[in-house]
Amino acid sequence: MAVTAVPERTARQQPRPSVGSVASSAPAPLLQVEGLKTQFPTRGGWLTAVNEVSFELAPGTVLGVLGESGSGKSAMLRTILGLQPKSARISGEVILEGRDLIAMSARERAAMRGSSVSMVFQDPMTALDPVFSVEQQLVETIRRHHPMSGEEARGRALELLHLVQIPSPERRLKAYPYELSGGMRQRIVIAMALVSNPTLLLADEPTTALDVTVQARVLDLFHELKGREGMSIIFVTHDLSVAAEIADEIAVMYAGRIVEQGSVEELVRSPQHPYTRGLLEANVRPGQADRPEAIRGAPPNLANLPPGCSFAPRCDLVEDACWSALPEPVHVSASHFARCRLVTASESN
Amino acid sequence: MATIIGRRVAMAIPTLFGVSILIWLLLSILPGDPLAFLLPQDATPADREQLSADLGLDRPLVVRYVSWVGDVMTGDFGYSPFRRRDVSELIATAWTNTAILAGVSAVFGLTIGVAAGTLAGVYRGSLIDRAVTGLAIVGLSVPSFWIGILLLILFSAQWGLLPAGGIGSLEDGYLDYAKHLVMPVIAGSLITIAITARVTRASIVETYQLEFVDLLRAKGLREYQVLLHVSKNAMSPVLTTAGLQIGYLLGGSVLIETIFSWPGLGQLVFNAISARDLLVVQATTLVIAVTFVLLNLAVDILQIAFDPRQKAAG
Repeated sequence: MAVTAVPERTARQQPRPSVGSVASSAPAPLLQVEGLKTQFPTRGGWLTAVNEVSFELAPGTVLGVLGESGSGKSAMLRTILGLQPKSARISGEVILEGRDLIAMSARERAAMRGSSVSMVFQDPMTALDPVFSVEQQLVETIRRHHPMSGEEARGRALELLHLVQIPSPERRLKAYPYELSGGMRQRIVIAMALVSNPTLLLADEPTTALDVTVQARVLDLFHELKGREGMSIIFVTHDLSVAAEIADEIAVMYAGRIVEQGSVEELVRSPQHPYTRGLLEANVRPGQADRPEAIRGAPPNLANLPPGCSFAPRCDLVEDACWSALPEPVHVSASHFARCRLVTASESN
Repeated sequence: MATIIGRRVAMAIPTLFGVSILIWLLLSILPGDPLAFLLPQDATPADREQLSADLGLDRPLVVRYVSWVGDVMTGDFGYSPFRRRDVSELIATAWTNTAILAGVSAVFGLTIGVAAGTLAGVYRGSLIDRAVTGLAIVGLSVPSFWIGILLLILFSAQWGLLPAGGIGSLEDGYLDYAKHLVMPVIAGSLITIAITARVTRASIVETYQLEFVDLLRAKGLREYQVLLHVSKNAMSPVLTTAGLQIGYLLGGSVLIETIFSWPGLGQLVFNAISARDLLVVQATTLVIAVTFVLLNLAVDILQIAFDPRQKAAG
């Protein structure tokens, strides 16, 4: 998995680049997320699930988003897609193909969903409507975005089932979700996401709920999709090995923020943030005899974040200064940064 | 599909038999002498025995039950000495009258209940939701006879817009017939509206929180398409309640039928109980019970039609 630093990444290094400044040096990114913030009202005040997240995604690349439960990775995907409840407070920009998904009307956003951007959910057992057949659910999706006859749509549905490698697709088309295995259902969810050849595919832990053997095959399918022209994928997972396998780049999320981001190679070879290192150590390696090292403590309360580094309470290397000020991103290379004051910037930066 | 329906029907048969045994036993064992009302004051014990033998009351319980079930199966519910009519004839007339009232009330009540509940569920937390939820509580708490009397006072006594009671005759035209129905339908379906609205709202709200709704939206479906999916999924509890409601309506409301002098099952059974007309009480109870069982069967079959998973469950 050769990963090369893409030149336009430099644009991201400025804390808040305007849209115009990006176009100057590099091809326009497919997706540009700027200062995205998602908050939910709770009794204890506003809970910040996604906190000032900014990143860019070049056409045809896969961004793995890594983090433990509650780190805001799923909330981020839902915010990008506009699936958050009305009570949520959302700010920032999500610019896909030059249009801001946050600013546009709900109607426009609904038209983009399933065509330009679509999503694969975590649990295929609950993601499909149990009382409609696979065919009905596929055909309605196809006809929503492409005006065609029911007969044509059925043909297209069959093609899609072939594409996601479902055995005897004619028979599966007539089936109801409860008649299919988890892996098969996830393939159908993926087929639905591919209806309009989206330029951006959001995958929310798409293999987590599956059996290990099925996991591997669904992951293979994602590998194949990766090669499809122009499609970028944001692949959310808590499993580093999965992220390393599928992604070109990995962003590590903690308490709603991206705390480290870099190419897979850089991130795995030289993790900078203590949290990323913790995650790597928590992973079982082949031939490892002793138990993997777990990160001590639990993620912070998102409704009441400390002023400084969110990871400070769990960090073994914590210094006094960590508690007071939020660390700025420090670049160790053009394509690799970490939000930790202990990291020293590379000289080229 | 056909075999599952067949199985459900087969399961209903023992229920029906159980119901018939219960009803029959209840009235045969209950204290109270049915002969006392039929015999003259100065009857001798010999007269009593004679009448008992004539009516077949001297035979053992089992024999009497079997012969009763046999008669019932052939549509013979016996003769009411009080009304001087065949019980089957009394029941047929009363059932038809009640069925008309129940049918109109059910269509009216379920339509409004489902519509209001759906609106409240879709716009949860809105003004509509609060209005529907509030009115549903009022509808459940206010007794139907009170509403009935209120309607009578206003529309009949005060404004003279609607007939005070009785069943219309089609000979006087459909409008007259309909006018007779208005008040009993409104008073009688109030509870149906309230219960249906509450169940529908709860089911819709619950279904909207399921994960597949997110996927429907992620696919870009329009909100009305999402609502179609949600409605079909939310159908099950609404169907069950609807079946129960229609069952109650078909049982005939004693209160509503008495207030509006509607000659239905409720009135028939009320009069029969007062007169100790046991055969009529027995027959009416049986008809109501059988209606319930058949309605539940129909609801079961509809559930299968709406939810394919039930086919697998059998």
